[in-house]
Amino acid sequence: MAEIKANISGTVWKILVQPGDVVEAGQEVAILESMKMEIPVTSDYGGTVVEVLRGEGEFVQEDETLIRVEP
Amino acid sequence: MGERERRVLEELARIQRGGPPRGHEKQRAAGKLFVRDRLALFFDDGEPFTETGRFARNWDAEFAADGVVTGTGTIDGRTVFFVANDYTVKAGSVGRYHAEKTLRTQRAALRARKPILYLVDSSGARIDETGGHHVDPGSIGEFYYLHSIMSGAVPQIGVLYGTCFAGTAYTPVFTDLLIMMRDAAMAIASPRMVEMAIGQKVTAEALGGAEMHAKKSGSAHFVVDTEEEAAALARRLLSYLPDNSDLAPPMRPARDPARDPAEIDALIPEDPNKPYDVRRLIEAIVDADSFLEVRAQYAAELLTGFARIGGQVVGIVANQPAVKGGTIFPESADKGAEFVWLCDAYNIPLLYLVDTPGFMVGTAVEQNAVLRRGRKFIYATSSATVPRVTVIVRKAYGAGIYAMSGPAYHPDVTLALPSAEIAVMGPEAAINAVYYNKIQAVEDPEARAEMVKRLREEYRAGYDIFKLAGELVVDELIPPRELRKELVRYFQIFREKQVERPRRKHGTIL
Repeated sequence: MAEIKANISGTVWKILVQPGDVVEAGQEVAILESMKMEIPVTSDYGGTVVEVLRGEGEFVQEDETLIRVEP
Repeated sequence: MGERERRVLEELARIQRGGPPRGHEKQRAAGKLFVRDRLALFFDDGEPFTETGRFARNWDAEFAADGVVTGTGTIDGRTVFFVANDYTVKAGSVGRYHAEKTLRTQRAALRARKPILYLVDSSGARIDETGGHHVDPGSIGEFYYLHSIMSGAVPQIGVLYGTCFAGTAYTPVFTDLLIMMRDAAMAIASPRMVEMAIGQKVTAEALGGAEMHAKKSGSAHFVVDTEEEAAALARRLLSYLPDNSDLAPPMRPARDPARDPAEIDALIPEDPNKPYDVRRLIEAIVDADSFLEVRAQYAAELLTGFARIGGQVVGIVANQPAVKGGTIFPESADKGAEFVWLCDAYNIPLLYLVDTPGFMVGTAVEQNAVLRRGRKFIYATSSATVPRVTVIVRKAYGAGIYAMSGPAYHPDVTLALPSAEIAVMGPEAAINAVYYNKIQAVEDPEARAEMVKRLREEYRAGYDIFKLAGELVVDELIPPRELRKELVRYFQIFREKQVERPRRKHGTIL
């Protein structure tokens, strides 16, 4: 199981995928809002989204797991 | 030929074969070149390198040159000293004469005021020879003293080929610019020692591999896959550096940028919160094919690199909005400080491209010393006496602009593009900070939203770049397509810049 982690501390602004979606490596899967900037989160892996752990509006720390992907 | 001369030549031929066959086999098996073939990659064609100290420990057949080749060669017509370990001789380990040769080469480079290359391929100190003498002056212990004394006087460039543990691993990190082969590793202690000391099981790669040092520790400036690439990169690095701290880097004929400067305005998004890749902007500013990013994988939210503008070498420090919004983190502050310091030492003018929401906030960065490490970046910029040109590309919020050579830091000129926004903080945060109670007091949500919108607009009008240009907060507001031309002009104007500083030994910030 691969984990997609927050690349910066901030608020989850948009989650762009849901469980069952197929994602490609390099695909944008979420957008965080931090320092008033839109920070895209991309997947390092291709696979199927299994679980979305954090919802829009929640505060997340850098390196916190946002989404789990089955490669 | 007389017998005496013949004897010298025979002995030299033996020495140049390096270590015993099993040493060569080991090197070949590891996919690495014999040191003399390796050296040949670095120097100009038809200009063989010359050596000193070849006869070191010549009474021992297995200790050719005592495991290190030292001397000078020519790169782009310039003399460069080198110290290159011979792994075929006792795994490149540092014995008594090996150490002496290294130290003599370091001192010679310093006297001659020429750059020095360290081609590191060594298993470390030759333990059976050192006893407690690795602390003596004239021993391996003095390497790092000389690295320190030479630092900023003559460029020191390192290439790390093999695994390098314990004290020896300090040579790579003392160099100004370190190239690591992808399968090389360095660490303060080997995996075996780590397991013995603390019980941790770890591979050399995980402990001190090139990827780790490029991404996490920031100790490797570059990672390459082949020895040819390493040599070509070292040669290229020297093209940006002068022989010593009294000279300017070499000039080259100017070339037009790879991207038309007329595209600059369209490269920068209208929405200040949207990311973009600052490398596209750099392509429209610098001479074609002249840009070399330094430490690209480490703290990528701040980009550092060498380039040429109008043929003249410059160091670029740019916020990278494509990574973490261009926010400055403790790691990026260190990276910026060290790059500015390097450029200033070798008379490389600095170009700052500012687009940052500021220093990162929150518990994680506070514990990671964002203030203390941010201070280093501000200190390095303040102290740099080379020509400095600051361009406010877009956002210049908070203390970020101090580190990025804002107007208060005495750059030679501050230019703004029409996308520039200079403010203590962005409108959302500012309105929240100043009018929090007033906003909360409005009960009707619609009226409250209306009020917030109005306040933000008022706040934004306060830092309108035309207004700020009118108040001379920046020296000039320029059409983006003129940026390249203006940079060529300003770097020419300030080439002979002189700065007076108060008398002191040195600052207290490191």
